[in-house]
Amino acid sequence: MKALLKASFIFFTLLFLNMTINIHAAVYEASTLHNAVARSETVLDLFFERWERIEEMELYLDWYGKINWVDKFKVKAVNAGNGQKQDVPMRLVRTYGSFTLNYPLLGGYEGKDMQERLKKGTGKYQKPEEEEKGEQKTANWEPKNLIVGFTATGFHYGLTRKGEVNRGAAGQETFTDYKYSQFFDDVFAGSLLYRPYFVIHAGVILSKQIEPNDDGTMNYGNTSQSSKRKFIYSNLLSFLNMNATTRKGEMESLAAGIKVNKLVSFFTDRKKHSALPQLTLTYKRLKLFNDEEYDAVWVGSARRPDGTPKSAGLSDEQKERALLHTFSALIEKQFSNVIYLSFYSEFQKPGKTLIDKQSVSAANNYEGEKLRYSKLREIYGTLGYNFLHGYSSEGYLLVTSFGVSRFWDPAIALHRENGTGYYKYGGIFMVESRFFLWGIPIGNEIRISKNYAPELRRLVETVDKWTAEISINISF
Amino acid sequence: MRTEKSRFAGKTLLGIVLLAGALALQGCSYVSDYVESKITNRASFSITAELSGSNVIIRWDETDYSGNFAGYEIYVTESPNDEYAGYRIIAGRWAGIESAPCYKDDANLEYSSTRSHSHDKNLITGNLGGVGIYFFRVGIIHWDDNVEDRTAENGYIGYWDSVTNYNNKTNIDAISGYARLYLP
Repeated sequence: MKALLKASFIFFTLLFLNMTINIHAAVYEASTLHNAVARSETVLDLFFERWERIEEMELYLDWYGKINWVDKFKVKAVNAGNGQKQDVPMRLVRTYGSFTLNYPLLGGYEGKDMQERLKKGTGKYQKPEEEEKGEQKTANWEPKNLIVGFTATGFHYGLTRKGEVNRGAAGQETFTDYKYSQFFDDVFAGSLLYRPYFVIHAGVILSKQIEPNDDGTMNYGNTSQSSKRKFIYSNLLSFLNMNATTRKGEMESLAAGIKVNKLVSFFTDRKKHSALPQLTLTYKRLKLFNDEEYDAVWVGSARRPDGTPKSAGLSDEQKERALLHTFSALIEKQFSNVIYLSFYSEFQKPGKTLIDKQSVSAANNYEGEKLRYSKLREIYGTLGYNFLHGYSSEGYLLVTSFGVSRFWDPAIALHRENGTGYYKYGGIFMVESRFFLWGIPIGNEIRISKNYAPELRRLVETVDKWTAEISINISF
Repeated sequence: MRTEKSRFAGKTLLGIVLLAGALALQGCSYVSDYVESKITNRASFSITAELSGSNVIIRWDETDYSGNFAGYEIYVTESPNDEYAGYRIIAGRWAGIESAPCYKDDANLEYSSTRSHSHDKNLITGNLGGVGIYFFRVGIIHWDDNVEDRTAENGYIGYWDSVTNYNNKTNIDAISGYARLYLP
């Protein structure tokens, strides 16, 4: 809590300072953007995040789109007009789309329409079950349906540059060009839900890298690199989550989590625990460090076994690999669909010694310095208020939230625009709403953030930059 | 033996699978990128530029036969030897679009079947900063409204197909990537 208060104070102080001081931005160099392991974790997190909503809203169809813009990436680019390198401001664009279709093989969802199903709220805005179901004391273990589903989820990352066109009397307009490698990650998954006994998702993650043409256009067929991963996710008895990702038959990531409240209610009278915050504990292991050119660290040593310094372009056999183990706790609590609180903390431990690449120099005989890995990787807290709490029983929603955070990552030192160190405090402001069009719920969300931990986790290159995000979803 | 009901269920399931397959494209990364690229006017087709005598010949293959097509426009960087300079119009279908000396109207740019434009290089080098490398682009222009909505109520003056309305009621629907050319 003390760290959170400190994060809150520092974020808003920096927010104020940022408004008054023009800090020189460092030149951008791509790194984690190239890391397909980290990107596949990101796209899967978004897949699971979306599916959490789909399960809670009990949807047959869900379409979701999100656009995320981060401006002021200064890139050292060659000007094709004079051959000189110069700092060129660019925009990092991240777009996300998801489509899910569910079909009830047995039974179906309750409620005559979507608005009726939304009366209990959704996701983190959901009423506690006892409040919804009155005197019911024990969990309902009678399945109401067997659902089969299909989901396609896609994420695009890439830099673009904005140009201006003077059309004479017809006015001024802008356009954008693709710049540098563009990354496309797609998840195609099948799902089987027989709640509360099990939920299973299984599918593939296809990652592609496409090089744009010099003229700023791009052909989707010009794939320069591609990789395929398989994943499986399961939830058993409502409280046990397990998921794994593999590549070429090898386990790349593994996660196991427990929804503690649901575990307790499995064995006891859950009404006794209805006022308690919801607690989720998760353990993850991820093959995150692979001696790749874009990694911020060398694994084990800055030298190869034969004593020569490691450098870009190591063969697969020469690369050392290290796991990152993390353990996290998420606590969520809401008060009568009016106020929402959440608190998340994640602790970490790398599987091997890591050397900060920035510390490797002739002065230390190219040995580099061991990275002192912080035990705390991520911490954030959010507070939300629902202005339409009086209409929540009709499915309407207007929630304003803000959050503060701290995030630690070895690549922060590489990408930060000022100061030194491997961590950053940040914050976020969000507005989420839902309204109905011909009985179909339309959800939308606007987020403004800077150095907010979940955003940095998705892409650490966004450090010290403002991020704007809009999203919309149509579901029934 | 299969019953009518099971055949119907099979067809329904097949229909849903096919629908899911078709709609799956809506969720893929290419589609979400496409949506963003339309919002921000991403360069979407390629062109070529070459010098023929004292003329710059711009060529493109992109077609647009939609009902809102209003014409093509040709742009060039405002100064030589700078890829990142802003662009200005040097050719359009009407003389009244631009009064600068580098500009030349070309009635052929009204037609969607047009695939090239020829421009005197001296109009560029003589008015925009001399010899050097210039970057060219082609814009595909659309009316802001469908033909039935190009009315006085929507701000159109007189007959909709006029230079006044063109200047006030059109936008760039698509723009090309650049073509780089040294102009001696």
